[in-house]
Amino acid sequence: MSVINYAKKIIDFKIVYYGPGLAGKTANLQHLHRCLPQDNKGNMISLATGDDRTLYFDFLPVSALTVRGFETRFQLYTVPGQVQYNMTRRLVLRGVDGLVFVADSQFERLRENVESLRNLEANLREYECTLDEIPYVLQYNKRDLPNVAPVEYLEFVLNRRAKRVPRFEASAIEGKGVFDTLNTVSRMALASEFGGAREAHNEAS
Amino acid sequence: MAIPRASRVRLICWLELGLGLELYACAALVLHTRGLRTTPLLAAPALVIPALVIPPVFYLFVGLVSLRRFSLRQVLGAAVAMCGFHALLVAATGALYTIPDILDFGSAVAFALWGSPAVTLLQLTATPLVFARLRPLLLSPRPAPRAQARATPPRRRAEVPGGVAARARDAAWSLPPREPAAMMPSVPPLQRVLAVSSSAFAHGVQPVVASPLVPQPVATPPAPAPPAPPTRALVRPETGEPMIRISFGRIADQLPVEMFARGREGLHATLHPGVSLLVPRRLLLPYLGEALAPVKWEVVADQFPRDELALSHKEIAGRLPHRSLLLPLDEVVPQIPAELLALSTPAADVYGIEEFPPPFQPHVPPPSETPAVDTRAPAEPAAVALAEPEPPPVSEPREEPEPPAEPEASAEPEGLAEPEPLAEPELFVEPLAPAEPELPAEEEPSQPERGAEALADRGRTAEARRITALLAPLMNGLEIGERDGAGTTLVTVVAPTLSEDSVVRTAARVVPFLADARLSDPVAQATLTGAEATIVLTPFGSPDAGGALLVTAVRSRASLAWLERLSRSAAGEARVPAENGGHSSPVGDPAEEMELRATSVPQSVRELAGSLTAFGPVAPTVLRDAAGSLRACLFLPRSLEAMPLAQFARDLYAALEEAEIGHVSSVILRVGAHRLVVRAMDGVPGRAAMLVGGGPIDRPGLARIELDRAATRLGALVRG
Repeated sequence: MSVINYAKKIIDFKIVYYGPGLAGKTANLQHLHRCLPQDNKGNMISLATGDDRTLYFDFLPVSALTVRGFETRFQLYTVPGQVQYNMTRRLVLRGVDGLVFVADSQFERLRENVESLRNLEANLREYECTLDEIPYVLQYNKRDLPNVAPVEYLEFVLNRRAKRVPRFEASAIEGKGVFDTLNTVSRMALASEFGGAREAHNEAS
Repeated sequence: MAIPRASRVRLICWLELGLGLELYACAALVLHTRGLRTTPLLAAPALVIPALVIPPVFYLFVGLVSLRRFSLRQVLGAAVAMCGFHALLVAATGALYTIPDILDFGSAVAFALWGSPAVTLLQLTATPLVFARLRPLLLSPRPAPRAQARATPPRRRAEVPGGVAARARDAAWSLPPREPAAMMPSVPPLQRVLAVSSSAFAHGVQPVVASPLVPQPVATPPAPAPPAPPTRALVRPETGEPMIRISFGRIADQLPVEMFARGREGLHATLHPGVSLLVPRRLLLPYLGEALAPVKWEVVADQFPRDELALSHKEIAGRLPHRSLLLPLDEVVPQIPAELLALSTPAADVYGIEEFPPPFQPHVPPPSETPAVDTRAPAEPAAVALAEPEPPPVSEPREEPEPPAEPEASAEPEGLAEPEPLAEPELFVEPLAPAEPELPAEEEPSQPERGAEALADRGRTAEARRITALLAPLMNGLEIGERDGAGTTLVTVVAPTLSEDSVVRTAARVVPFLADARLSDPVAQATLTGAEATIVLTPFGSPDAGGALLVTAVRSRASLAWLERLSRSAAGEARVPAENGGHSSPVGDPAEEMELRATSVPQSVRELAGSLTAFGPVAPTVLRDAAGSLRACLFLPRSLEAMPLAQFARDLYAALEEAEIGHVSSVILRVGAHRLVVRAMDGVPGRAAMLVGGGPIDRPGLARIELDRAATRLGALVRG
C-alpha cells in the first residue's frame, strides 16, 4: 500500500515489474531511466550478475504529478526472474501498489510466463492478497523478435482471469510500449488510491 | 545381410514361445514318470463334465480380467481362442503320452483331458501364457515395404470412446483447475471432443503423412462436432475432424534413440522432408491455456512405421516424460482458429484512470547528455560490459557538476510545490548526514584536493545510501545509520534488539586490522561471532577517500552466509576500482613478535590437520612462547606464512578482549582467495592460545565447525 507522509505531503507508490527471467523487466527500467527528465528521476540501482541477470532487484525512484496537494512519487522495482530467487521476489512484493507483469512473447518462453504468473499469485497469497485487488497490467515484451506468439494467444494464456486487465505490446529494448505501460499502471494506482478521480484531477489541475 | 532388428525381435518371441511349449511338455512327462499312468478311462460324467466345463469358464474369466478395455466380442473371442488352444494342448499331450505307453491315441487323449487334475491344471496355466505371447505375434504386421505399411496400418486395440483423451487428461500435467468459463471459451463439450478423437485413433488414422499431399486443416473453419459412431469412415481426417499437423523433425528429439530399430538417423533417412504427425486439435485445446501442447504417445503411436521401432509402444511411452510428447507451440498455435482463442471475459474496470493525466512523458536527451548512471557491480567486469550498449560511465556525472547535495531533486514543472530530494526507497526514514572529510592535520590541502575530497565524500555518502537501499528491503526492521569509528565512516545496519553503540565500538576495534600488513591482502570481509551479536564488516569505497565500512549486525547466526553475501554484493556495488589500497602498519606490540617460535608438531596435531577437510590441504604449525607454553596452532596452506598470521591473530584477539558484544568466540576473515578462521583454543590455561585455520574455503560453515571441533580436541590434548 502507498506510504503517505502527511508532513511533507508526499505519497509514495511502489510499482513492481514482475515476470520470468530475461523477459525485459530491467530493460523497462533502463529505458525509463534513460528517457525520463532529469528532474523526475533518481539514481537507478541495479545489481546484476556477470551475465547481466538481475541478482537482487532494480530500483528506480521517479516523481510524478501532484494530486490533492500531495506530491506523488513512484518507486519502480524489478524482481529477479530466476526461479531460485523467490524469497527476494516475495520481499520486493511487500507493500506493492501496482504490478506490471512483463511477459516474454517468444513461443519458447510461454511456459515460463505461466509459471511466473503462478508464482506471482502464490507470492501475493503470502501477503493475503490477490491480483484482483492490485492494479496490474500485462506487458507483452519482445514483440520485435521473429518467433513471437500472437497477442490473441498471449491473452488466452495470461489474461484469462475473471476480468481482463490492460495489456501492452512492447519492445522494451527499443522503448516501445514502456511508457504506456507505466502510465497506465500508475494511473490505476492513483485511481485506486484517490478513488474519485475526476475530483482529484480537478484539484490537481 | 543383417536381419532387421524388428525381425530379430519377432524371432526371439517365437523362440520364447517354443521354449514355453517345450517346458509344458517336460512338465507333462514329469507327471507321467511320477506314476500317473495313462490307462484307459471310462467316460464317466463326473470326470468328463468338469473337464469340459471348467476350461471355458476359466478362459472366459481370464479374458474378462486381462483385456484392458471391456468388449464382449473380444472377451468371447479370446475365450474361444484359448479353448481352441486348450484342445490343441490336450491333443498334443495325448500324443505325448502315446509314445511311452504305446497306448492308442484315444485313451491317451482321454487321460490328457480328464484323467489327471494335475495335467489339467498344467494346461489351464499354459494356455493363457502361450496365448498372451502368441497373440501379438499373430496380430502385429510383418515387416513390409514402407508404402505397404502406410497403406495398411496395424490394428489397434479397440478402445471405448474417451479412453485416449481421458488418459491424456490424466497425464501428469499437473494443471490447476481453471474456471470453466475461462478454461475453454467456445470449446465444445469435452466428452464429445474426446469421443471423436479417441475413436479416430482407435481405428487408426493415417500413418505418417507427407504434408504436401493433404490439405491444411487449419484453413477450414471449425466444423460442428459430429456424433461419434465408431465407424471408420467418420474418423478419418478427411471427414472434417480438425487435425494439427506437426513436423516430425520438431518432436524427434524428444524420442528415445533406442526406440528406433535403425537409430534416429535411420528414421530421418527414411522419412522424407515435410513428413508430419497428425494430432486431433481438440485433444490439445484443454492444454493450450497452460502454454502446453502435450499429446500421449498412444495417440500418435500408430503413425510411426512399426518395422522402424525396436520397442513396443508401451515401452516407448514409458520412456517419455508423462508418457507424452510436447508439441511445439509455434506450430500448434497458428493452426488454432482465432475464435477458439477469443476470450469472453469482461475487461477489468479501470474506470477513472482517464481522469488522471499520464504521469510520465519520455524526454529525449540531447546528444551531449551523459548516459544513465550504471551502478552494476564493478567487481564483475563482464557485468559492466554487458550492462549498456553505451560505454559505461566511469563516475557519477550527474553528481559532479553541481556540488550541492542531491542533484536528483524533483522538479515537476506544474505540480510540485517545493523541490525536495527525490524519494529513495521507503527505508530512508532518516536522511544520512554527509560524512566529514578527514583531512591530514599536518598539511593544508590545496583547493583542488579539497574539492576532490568533497566530491569523494559526497560519493561515499551516495554509496552508503545505495547500500542501505539494497539491504533494507531484505533486512526488515534493521536500523540503518551512519557513524564514525576509528577514522572510518561506518554505515551500520543493526538489528533493533542490539545496541548500535556496542556494535560500532566493537567494529572500531577491528578496523585497524582490516588492512594489516601481515596479511597478504586487505580483508574483504570480517565476521565476528560474539556472545550477544554477530557482526559482518565489509569495507567499501575508496580507501583514498578515507574508506568506509558496512557494518551489519544481527543477533543470531541464522542466514549468516546470506548476510555475508549480501553485504559483499552491496559493498561491491559501491566499491570503486581504486579499492584494496595499501597495507597499514601492523597493530600490536612489536616486542612480542619475537616471543613465538615454531616447535615440532605432535602426531595428534597432524591428525587434526587431516580432519579439516573444508580448508583444503593444510599443514599444521605449533608455536610456543619463550616459556614453552602453547600459544598458537595454525592449519594453513603452504602458500601462507604461519608466523605473521599467528601474531596477527594474537593481536586481533587481544583487541577484541572484553568486546562490547560479549566474548568473541571466532573471527572469520576473507583475505584474497583465502579465508582465515581465528578462534581461541578451548580450555587452555594461561594466556589465550590461538587456533587459526585458513585456505580456499568453499564451505565456511563447515570450516568453522571443523575448527570448533579441533579447538575442543586440542584443548583436551593440552590439558591431558
